[in-house]
Amino acid sequence: MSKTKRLAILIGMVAWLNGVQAQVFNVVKSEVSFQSDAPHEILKAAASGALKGIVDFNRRTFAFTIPLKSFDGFNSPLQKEHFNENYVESEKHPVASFSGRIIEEDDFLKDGNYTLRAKGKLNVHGIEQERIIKCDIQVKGGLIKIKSSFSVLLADHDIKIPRIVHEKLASEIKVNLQAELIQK
Amino acid sequence: MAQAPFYKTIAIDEDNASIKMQSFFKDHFGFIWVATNEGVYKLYGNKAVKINLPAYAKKNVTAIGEDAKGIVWIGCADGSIARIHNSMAAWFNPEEGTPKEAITSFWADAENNMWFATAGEGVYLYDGRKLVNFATEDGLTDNYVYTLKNYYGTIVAATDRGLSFINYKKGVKQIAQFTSKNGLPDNIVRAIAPSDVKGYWWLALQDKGLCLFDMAGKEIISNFLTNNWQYGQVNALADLGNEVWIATESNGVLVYNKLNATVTKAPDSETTIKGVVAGIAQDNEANLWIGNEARLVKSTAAIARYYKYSDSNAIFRVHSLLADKQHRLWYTPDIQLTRCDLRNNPLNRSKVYPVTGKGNKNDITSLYYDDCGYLWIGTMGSGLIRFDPNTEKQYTVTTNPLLVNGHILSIAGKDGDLWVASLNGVTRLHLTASHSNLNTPVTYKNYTKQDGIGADYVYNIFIDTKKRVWFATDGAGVAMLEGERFINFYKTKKLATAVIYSVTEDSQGGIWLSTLNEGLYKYDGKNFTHYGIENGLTDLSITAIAADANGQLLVVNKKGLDLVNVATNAVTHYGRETGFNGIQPNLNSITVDEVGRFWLGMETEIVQLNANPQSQVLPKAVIETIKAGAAIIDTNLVHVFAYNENNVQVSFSSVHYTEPEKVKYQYFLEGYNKQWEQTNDDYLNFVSLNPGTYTLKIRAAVGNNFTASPVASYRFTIEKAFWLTWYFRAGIVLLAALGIYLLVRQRLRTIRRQEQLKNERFRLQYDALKNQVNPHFLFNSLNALLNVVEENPTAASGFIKQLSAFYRKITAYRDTDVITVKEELEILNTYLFIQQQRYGRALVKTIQVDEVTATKFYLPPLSLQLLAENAVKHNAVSLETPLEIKVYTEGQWLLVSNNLNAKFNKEESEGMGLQNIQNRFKLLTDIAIEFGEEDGWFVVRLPMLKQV
Repeated sequence: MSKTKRLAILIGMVAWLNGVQAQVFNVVKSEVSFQSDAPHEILKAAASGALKGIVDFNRRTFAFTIPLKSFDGFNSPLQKEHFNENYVESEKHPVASFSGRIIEEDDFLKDGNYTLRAKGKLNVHGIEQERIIKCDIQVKGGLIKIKSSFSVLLADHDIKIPRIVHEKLASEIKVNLQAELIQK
Repeated sequence: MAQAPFYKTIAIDEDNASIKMQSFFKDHFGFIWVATNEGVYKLYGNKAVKINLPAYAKKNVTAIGEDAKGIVWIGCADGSIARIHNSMAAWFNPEEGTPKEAITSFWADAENNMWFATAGEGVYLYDGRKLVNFATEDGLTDNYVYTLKNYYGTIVAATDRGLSFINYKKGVKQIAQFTSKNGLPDNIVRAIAPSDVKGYWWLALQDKGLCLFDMAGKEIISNFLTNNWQYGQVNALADLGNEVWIATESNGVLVYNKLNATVTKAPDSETTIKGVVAGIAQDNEANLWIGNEARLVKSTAAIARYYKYSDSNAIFRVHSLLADKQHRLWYTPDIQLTRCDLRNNPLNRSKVYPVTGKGNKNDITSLYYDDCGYLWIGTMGSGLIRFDPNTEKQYTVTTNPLLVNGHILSIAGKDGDLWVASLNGVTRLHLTASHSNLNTPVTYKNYTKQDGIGADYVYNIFIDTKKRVWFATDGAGVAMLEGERFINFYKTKKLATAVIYSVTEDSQGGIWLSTLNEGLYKYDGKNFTHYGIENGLTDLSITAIAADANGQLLVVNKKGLDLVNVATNAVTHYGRETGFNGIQPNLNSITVDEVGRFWLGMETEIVQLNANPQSQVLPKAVIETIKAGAAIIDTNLVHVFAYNENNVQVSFSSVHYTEPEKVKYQYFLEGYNKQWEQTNDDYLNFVSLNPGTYTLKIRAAVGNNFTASPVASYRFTIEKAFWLTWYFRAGIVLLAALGIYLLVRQRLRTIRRQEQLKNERFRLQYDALKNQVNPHFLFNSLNALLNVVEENPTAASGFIKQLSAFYRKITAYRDTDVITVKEELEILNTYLFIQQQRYGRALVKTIQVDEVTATKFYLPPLSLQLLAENAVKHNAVSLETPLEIKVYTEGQWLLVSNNLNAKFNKEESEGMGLQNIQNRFKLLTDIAIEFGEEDGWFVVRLPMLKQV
């Protein structure tokens, strides 16, 4: 079974198991972007509304996934091709995902601003890395806004860059994420 | 002026710069182990030695632990676990299988159960038989566990979601929690380390720094460091008392100073430490080890600090320093007097006082703080100055001609007496209550060499606890004033050394003298004992000595420091590895502060040494492996080797990290060596050891004093070869005795048998003689002869010949034991011939014995004749009832039979014939003769004898 399918089932199970307790939130709106500050060429792209995700504030677990092909807005069509075919190999590894647990114990259903740490396994390019990612969340009237930025080290995920483009791509990719969740 | 410890960097693996250090572990010997992403390493002095794991040398090792039996447990990122015992590693394969997640921590409890934590499967307990799992279902805060600690039987697990307190008694799991809901500043606790307050533990947090936690009360004691923590993830920490050294993920090593509540980068660490600092740990000698990616950094943070001007060209001749009772350190860089508060950040908040004198050429050589709160300053060329630190006013002693523009070398005082040594003699100043006024002139008395000191050039004056005043002179050795009487030990020839640099007294009352080039002398009240290289000192040219209140004497030379334990004479050396190599100590520039730290004045720096007696751990020799024959043996279990396992190979090491390159070994195989032998190797081979019991002893030392070092020992026995064992020998003796006994018995039996045979023979001879004169036989024979003579005179001569032959044979064989069957048959034939003359056809004989049998076998003589005689005797012989005598063989039996035809009037018989034959056969063979009636025949079976 592919990791994608497994994740989909996991999301499904989490949703089903927690449906009764009604503390499950789904992503309804999202904006994910990344960029690499390489000396010569800036690799950048963004994906709107492509992020699927679910957060169970009762069990303090979460799962997010995004198809890599949904990223667009590259500097050139060629860059997009390189990204999909050479770097992340999106045919072989179509999605990036992050699932795990929330460390903090605040009552996130109350209106307010919180900072939480999501600890789990970040899967990019088929390679899992254990990560702790800090997020700022804003809760207001049943709407949860998540804001986070983090980096992905290419070496961590075995993303190999051809020597010629080595300079074009920084070894670190900065990711910005914004999402809105509502209760299911 | 900056202070820093000394750092020494060691590559974990010279050939692998990408290796990543993960954590430290200290075993029960004191060895430091290093877990890395490419295997496990053990620190031998300055060398990290890779420990081979079975099959996978490059395993990502994430945790190391040790159980009560000394077995080291190695946990890996893939959940596998290896156990190392006697230098041999084997994978741990419990029935339930090992975890699938990384092993993060081990802890052996008091019952020797091994607990281990995993990154995702909670906590496991292995009781020697089975695994017990503790996970979120059991109440664990989270299954991702970073570390385990044992707090009085409760296992404390630090997890992603707070602390869990596990109790497990008789199969019942009890888990209490402490999380952010209870006030934990950060739910991710990555490490737990003891603080210097008992019961309080530091929690290293993922995002919020450090906090102090009361284990018993389950309460956060100090949140100070968690507020506004901006240094990211804390990986490990070590509490050194006044400071906590903190290993961080992205900010190197930080130091939390408890006295002034600051967090700063570890001094001078920027150039040494880069990137992730995964671990920090202290060895038993108080060296602080910092695990920094592919490097291990050994630091003297808890042992020594070096205070230097940042400008290396700055002149900084510290000729005198003094720690006073108010925790202040006075020292004299160049011509200035500097004061600083030791309880605060030492030497940073210092105050500098100008000391007036003759121009700028003043050199301060000695300092003394009197009971009135004034400092006495001895100068070179400007005499003695009394100084008020509060008003900064100075008073130069001018009343005493010895001191005017004098050159002062030493000041000492006690109970209102102030002793001052100048180049031209000694003066004793008398201070009274009126001297609370700075400027009150002082009464004095001057002493010269004629007064008993012996020389006017006095390097050092020291007043001991018995109020004796000691004078260390140049040229006249040491002198002592006891009461009003001077004793010069050089002149009394008690101590032949002319140049003594200084005198001090240890906390046990021993007086110590340092000399120009002869090391130390200790005066015990009666005699002076020399301490030199053979006692463990590194160098004999000593510049300063001082003693603390804990029984330690610090000896300073240019090669470093020797710290002598005055009770055990053990010497701890600090040299190159601790940054003391190449120091330029100034003569007698040493002081001990109120908390027992030594301060040393150098040409370019001040050095502070923490001489904690608990850290003065001598090199500890450890026997690593013993091979007897071909196999490595389990030294815990095996102490007896077979006779042919007498080639014994030993490898050993020592636990010593302070000056590892100076470690030397001595060994002593009791039963083989006569005394301790020195070696620079770390292995020994004993070839062809004789059977016997041996005790191998190994000890290690830095320097030449081995006697105080702990001894590693192993007792073993080489068995005697079986042919040398007592039981084998006893067996041989028993067997020989048995053999002799049997031989003797056999011989006695033979003798007895021969005796009996002789008797039987005598009886036979007697019988035969009787027969010879048996009148009946003779009468019958003669009657028969008469008939023959009458009927056939020619046959008569044959008859007579036969009769005579018969008698000749009886006579001839009577002394013989056996004769051939042939000879027997001849006698029988002769006898029967004679009888046939009488009975004619009434006596029939049939003899069927082949020639081979007849010559090969033997019979007792006359046995056949006797049997034939018996047959004739007991049966009626007539033509109606003829007597038939048959002689024939059946295998080895010779059968003699006759038909039974009993007489009515039996011929007189002693019945001795058959008995006699029976007896003689019994003596000659074990096979008995058989006789009896068979179908009307009387049959006698005689066993024919082989040659006897």
